[in-house]
Amino acid sequence: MAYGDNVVLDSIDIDVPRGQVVALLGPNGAGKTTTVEILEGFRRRSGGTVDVLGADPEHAPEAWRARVGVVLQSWRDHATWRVTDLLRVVGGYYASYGTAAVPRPWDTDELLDRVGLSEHAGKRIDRLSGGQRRRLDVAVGLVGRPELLFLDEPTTGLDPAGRRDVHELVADLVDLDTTIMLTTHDLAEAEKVADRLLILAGGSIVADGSPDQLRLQLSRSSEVRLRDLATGEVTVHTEPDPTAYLTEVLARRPGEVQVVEVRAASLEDVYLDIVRRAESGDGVGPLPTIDPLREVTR
Amino acid sequence: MSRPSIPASVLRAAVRQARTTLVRKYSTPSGLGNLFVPLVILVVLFWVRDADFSDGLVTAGGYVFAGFLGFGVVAAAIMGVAGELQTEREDGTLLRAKAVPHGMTGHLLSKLLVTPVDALIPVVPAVVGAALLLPEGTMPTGVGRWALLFVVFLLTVAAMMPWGAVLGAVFRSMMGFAWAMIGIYVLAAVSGLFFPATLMPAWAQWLVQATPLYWIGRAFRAVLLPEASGAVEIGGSWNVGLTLVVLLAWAVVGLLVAPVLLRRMARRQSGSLVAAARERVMQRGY
Repeated sequence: MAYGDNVVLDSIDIDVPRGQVVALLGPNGAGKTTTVEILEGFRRRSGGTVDVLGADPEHAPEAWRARVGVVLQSWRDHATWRVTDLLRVVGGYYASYGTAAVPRPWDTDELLDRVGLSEHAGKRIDRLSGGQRRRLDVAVGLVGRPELLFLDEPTTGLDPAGRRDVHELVADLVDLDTTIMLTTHDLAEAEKVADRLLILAGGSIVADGSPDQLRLQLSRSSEVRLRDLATGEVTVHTEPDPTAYLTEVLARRPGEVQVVEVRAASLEDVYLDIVRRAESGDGVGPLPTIDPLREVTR
Repeated sequence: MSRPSIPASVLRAAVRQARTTLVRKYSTPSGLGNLFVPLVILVVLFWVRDADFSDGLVTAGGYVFAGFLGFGVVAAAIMGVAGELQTEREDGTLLRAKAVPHGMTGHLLSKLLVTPVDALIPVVPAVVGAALLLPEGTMPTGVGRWALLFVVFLLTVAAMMPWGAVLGAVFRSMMGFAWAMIGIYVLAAVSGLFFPATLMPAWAQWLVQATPLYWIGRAFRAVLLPEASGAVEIGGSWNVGLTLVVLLAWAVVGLLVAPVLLRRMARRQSGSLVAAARERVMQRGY
């Protein structure tokens, strides 16, 4: 994706199987929203191929729209409407896409129950709390029973209670067999709700895998703590290759040191490191461990 | 681009959307604020009820009342539609419509249904009040005349709605939009809606005829005022045929231009645009 000569997204290569919850993670300005808007068909791309549910979103027919749910960061639209008004009106547009197996739209009362808004059904939309409002946005995204749901920054601007609200809701959607793609700049959030993280930095995907895989594969250095048995002094060494270091130390000083702890860098350390390097313009540098990882997850 | 056909289910959804919009709008205090305008106009009518223009050719009350109806159409169909599009682009309404199958089509269809009602609501109390206040012979007497008044009302709304959409699509910043609205107020003030255009110099009369506002006012006056009052119009008579042709021409051109601009606006609609608007409102308050 480029604006004039300014390439903002390059070599984005994502392949998402059905039913997966994927988090597109990256610092502000990394191109998360642009990526998602290209996938949603809301934005024209400058090059490359995109295939979402078997169609190019840019030229997809209206029937394709009925299979894709989009949760928007809304703020003051339909302020005087009641909660049920919005669901009934939006749901009306899906009526002709229902099948015997998948009735569309989703029944309003059932859906409100599902997202935990039943007791607010008759409330004016502008009187909802931030978390409730976001629950309504998710309900609107789900009213057509989509196969694929996009959530762009679902917790931005919410207080901690509202954030937990949304996390619980997303976790609760797992049994819908709906593929979910969400964007966030919050690693803890991504770890909590997603099966798979895609880290977007400097305009390309720099890491792709489950939280555990990323932690193992991307740790560039580990902390090694050793205690000197004679003095009792503990020393900390940051080593890119702890195995080689330990082999060397233990061979050189047999019986003199005790290994207290070998700790891989936390996912947060890894993430911040990647983001820092991508932003400083060094490029993300050699991350040789990523390629084999990609093969594993495909 | 081939014209996509609109499924019946979309029409039903649009009707439901229009109904919800109207019910929610007119059951809140801000929606009822629309009724404040006719109160003002009735006060004005009361003041001018015995005055006249151009040596008694036309009564001021009747003239101003016709002008008020014309301005009501302009306010609802041009300024109302343009202002709504401006707001809906920024608050995410249009983006929501875009995310739904046939949502944008349905949204615009529902606007076609809502706008005439928006235009009509402030008119009803004004008509009732004027019938009580104005001297005999100003308001239509026969059923046919009332029907004609309603037809003129619908025609002028239909002719101006596409232009409201055009202005809403063209002016993309709040400031540019505000200036456009001020421009319309100025035009309304000098377009012969509230006093005969023939009181102005000849060059101004030519300019006035280039705006649809003059013709809208003239259509309402032709229905409401007596035959003889046509003498105050540019050209010296009502010439209803010409008036209708001009209004139809505005409608046709508007219907050709508006879909192109609306399609462009819909295509450009994106989440970052909504996010930017929110950011701006949080920081600057407008």
